[in-house]
Amino acid sequence: MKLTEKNGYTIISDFDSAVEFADINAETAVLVFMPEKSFCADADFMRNIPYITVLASESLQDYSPEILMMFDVRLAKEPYFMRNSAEYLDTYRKICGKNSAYCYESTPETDNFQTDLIHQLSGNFTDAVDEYLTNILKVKSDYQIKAIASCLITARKGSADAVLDEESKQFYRLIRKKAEV
Amino acid sequence: MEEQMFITEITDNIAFLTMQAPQNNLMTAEFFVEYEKTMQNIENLAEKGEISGIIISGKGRHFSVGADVQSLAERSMNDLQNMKSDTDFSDSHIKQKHLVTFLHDLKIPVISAVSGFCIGSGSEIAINSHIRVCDKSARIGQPESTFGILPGLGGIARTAEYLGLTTAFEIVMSGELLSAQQAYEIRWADILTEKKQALPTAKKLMNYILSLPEKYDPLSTARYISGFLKEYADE
Repeated sequence: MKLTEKNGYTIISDFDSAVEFADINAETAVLVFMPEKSFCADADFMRNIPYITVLASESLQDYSPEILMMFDVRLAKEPYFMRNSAEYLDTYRKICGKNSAYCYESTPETDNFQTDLIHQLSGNFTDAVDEYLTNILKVKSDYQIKAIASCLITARKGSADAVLDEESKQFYRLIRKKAEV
Repeated sequence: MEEQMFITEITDNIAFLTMQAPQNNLMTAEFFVEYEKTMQNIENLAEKGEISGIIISGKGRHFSVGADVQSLAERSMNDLQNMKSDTDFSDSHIKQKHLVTFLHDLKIPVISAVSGFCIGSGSEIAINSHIRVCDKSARIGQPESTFGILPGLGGIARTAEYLGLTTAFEIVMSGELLSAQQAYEIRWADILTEKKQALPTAKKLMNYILSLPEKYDPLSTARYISGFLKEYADE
């Protein structure tokens, strides 16, 4: 497994299995996984991983919906098609939101449902991933990125009340940090 | 006599809450005093079943440009001095947060009719509503991250719930503002209207929802909107 630290995020490449992810000790709050081939991952582990996780590959079509939905963000050049069956609805709702889930649920079941799972990029893929993340993370300190990430990670695994509490906690931490500067 | 910054009118059991504060509904400390009083009253009325819906809008061109940053910083610094730990939130913060986030949990329809700027704490009022009707002039966003903080009134929780984690990451972390069209494409805006039509459309939508035979379910708003748009497609 290879870790490459960038500005505000770390690229994880050259891995076979998510078991290797347990060894990750990155300074950044955002990890970008760029697989070269298919890999295994454990849903419980990924649910609790203390980083924002981005899965990035020119095409993610060969990966199962289960794998895709373990990540917080999915970047590719092409959309993702899957069967819109009821088994994925709850997870899909968590990832794509209530309104998107309504479309998923109200479209007759088909193998060819175009999901909202992918944020599509164009051009040179590696450059596009860097541009996407740089635009989002720019002008923010690591401390601030981690504070916001903490709220989003709580949203991944916790209740709405837990997220509301985490927002308040991190808000005051950031106010305190601003006062120290 | 000073003009009120937050007007409540109840017509046919629907509460119309209109922001009319100076500087495009800038949410100052004084604004929040009125806001909290108004929302406490609204919460009581809703609990007693004396209102059947809420529509929130801004008088003038803008919904709200959000919190007065200076006033927010002063209040927050004050709170910090009394906090014994990271989670020892002040009563005033708990109350203020509750009186924004409770909108989400109400069992009656809550619609925000958005025009112009709807940003920061203004956007948090809208995202805590069940439905957002935006006109084409709307510019929405959570720019708190661009000045070193984050949305603390439910902006992250509700964005993640309505739009999913990816969009919440993008909106909240970047702090960028979105056009009305972009807001519609990511489904922040449930309905997009021509300019100055957000409030009239919100009223029609409210009447449509309340005319349905079934009991209102906040989890079914996408279905109500779909039905409403089909019924009024030719208008």
